[in-house]
Amino acid sequence: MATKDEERAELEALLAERLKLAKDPSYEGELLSSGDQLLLFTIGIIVPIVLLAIGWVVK
Amino acid sequence: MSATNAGTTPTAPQGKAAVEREALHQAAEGSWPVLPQERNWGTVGLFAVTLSAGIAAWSYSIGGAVSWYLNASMGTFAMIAGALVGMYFVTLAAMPISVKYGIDTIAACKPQYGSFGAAFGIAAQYLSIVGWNCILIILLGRATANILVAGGVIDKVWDYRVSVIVTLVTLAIVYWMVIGGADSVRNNSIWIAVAVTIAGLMVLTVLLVKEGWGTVAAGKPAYASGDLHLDFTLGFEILVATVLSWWPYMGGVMRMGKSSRQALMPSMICLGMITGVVALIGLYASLATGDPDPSVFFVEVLGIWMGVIAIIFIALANIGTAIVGIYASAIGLKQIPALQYRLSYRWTAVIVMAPVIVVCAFFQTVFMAHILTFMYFLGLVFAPICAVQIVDYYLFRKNILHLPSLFDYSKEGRYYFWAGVNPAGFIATGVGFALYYWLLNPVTYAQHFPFKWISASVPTIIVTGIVYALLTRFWIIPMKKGGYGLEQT
Repeated sequence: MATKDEERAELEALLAERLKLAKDPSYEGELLSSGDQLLLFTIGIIVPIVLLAIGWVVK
Repeated sequence: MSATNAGTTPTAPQGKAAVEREALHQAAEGSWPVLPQERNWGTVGLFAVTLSAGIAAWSYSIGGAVSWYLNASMGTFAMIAGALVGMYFVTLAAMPISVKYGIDTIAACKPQYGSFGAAFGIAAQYLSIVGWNCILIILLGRATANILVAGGVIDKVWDYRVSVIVTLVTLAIVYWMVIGGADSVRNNSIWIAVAVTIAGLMVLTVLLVKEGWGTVAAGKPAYASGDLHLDFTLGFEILVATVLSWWPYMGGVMRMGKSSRQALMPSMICLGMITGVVALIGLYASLATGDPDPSVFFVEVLGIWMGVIAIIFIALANIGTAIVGIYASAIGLKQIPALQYRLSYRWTAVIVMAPVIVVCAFFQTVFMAHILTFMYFLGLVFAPICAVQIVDYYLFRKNILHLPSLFDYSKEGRYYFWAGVNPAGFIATGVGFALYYWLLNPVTYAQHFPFKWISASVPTIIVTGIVYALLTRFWIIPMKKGGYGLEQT
């Protein structure tokens, strides 16, 4: 039966192993492309500006 | 998450396999980075989890708050716009980091606040999730009690006690579901998402058919200031501030997705826009009945039998949202080194839920009387955090973090700064707090002149970002702290 310290040491070794795996760029999730950034900006900033303008006009 | 996802070798000794399983357990329910092959939430899973989180009864309270200032047409546009703007900043700040490295929101804020300073993010996450869960569970309890009173099942004098009992029973159910871990969150959320979507559309339809758009459109806001421009901005700000509080939820959910593109629409639509859309039910019902309390207007608008259906809807939605929130907060708490190995996931969930239990049992009325103050405080806290994170990640770190340093609390870690704290992050955040407080006081609701033109959260994000950029560029980087410039090594 492993002690708590042994268990912790073992888990820390596994964390180190996991971090080593994560160093490989292929392990990284995909980033947003320029097109995705543009889509995000449109939905998050442009569309709200248009909505606010419409809301102010229709009152 | 099953052990097979981690690539456990069949030849590994049993003890090793047990530790491997524990490692997986830690990764899914703790703080370790989740590797891409373990991120098994597909597009449908992400949509389902975020949709079930986004469709929550707190939105009725948000809509009710907006009805104090705006009529139906202006409120509709201000709310959807505010929800999208708030979500834009949260998505930009938290989502790409979590998806790229498979880390939760708290680990992602260590480069800005320091390896120990990130405890500030844990505190913000913890308090906001506690607050939202209080609203969710209390609304369910009060609505159930109101239905029972309206149906003659209990006397009016018993409604508070019944509300308390219902909230405590609901919390017990939530606890049972949340200790299932990541798979529990996903599996429960799929069926909850389907149920709440159907039920939500039904509630909205009944509301419009029964009351009619004419009644809703004619409803007058109860606390309109007389300055339409100011009220329009207040309505917008309520949504921006409340949606910013998705920040703590983002990492816990999005890190299980495979790519930022896959997570983009669930984030913007299912968390952001849906919050605004569901809040419209609260706005319309409140304007139609003159009562912003969802637990009251559900009974008033829908009557007994439809009210019972509404209670089922609220129960499904709230339990779904509560388990996602508690899951995210538990992961955050396990970032504290002292808790990481010593505290089991079950006890972590108990710590997250304990304040909710206390509030539900003893302080329901006081808490609900100050609901708008809570909402504005969310903007005050999370707007600066998002600003600091955006500027640091995109401007200074060029989308690259040093993953080992996120889990290194020693002086050798790149995010140690001074004693594990980055003063630039805290000073900039403090300036953001002060600016927001000056523009819009969350306690007294008093505003200063520029507020009606520029709102509070958006300028807070801009100013905080500028202060952080200046401090980092002219103080932190010259002092060679924070690992800036070492991104490629």
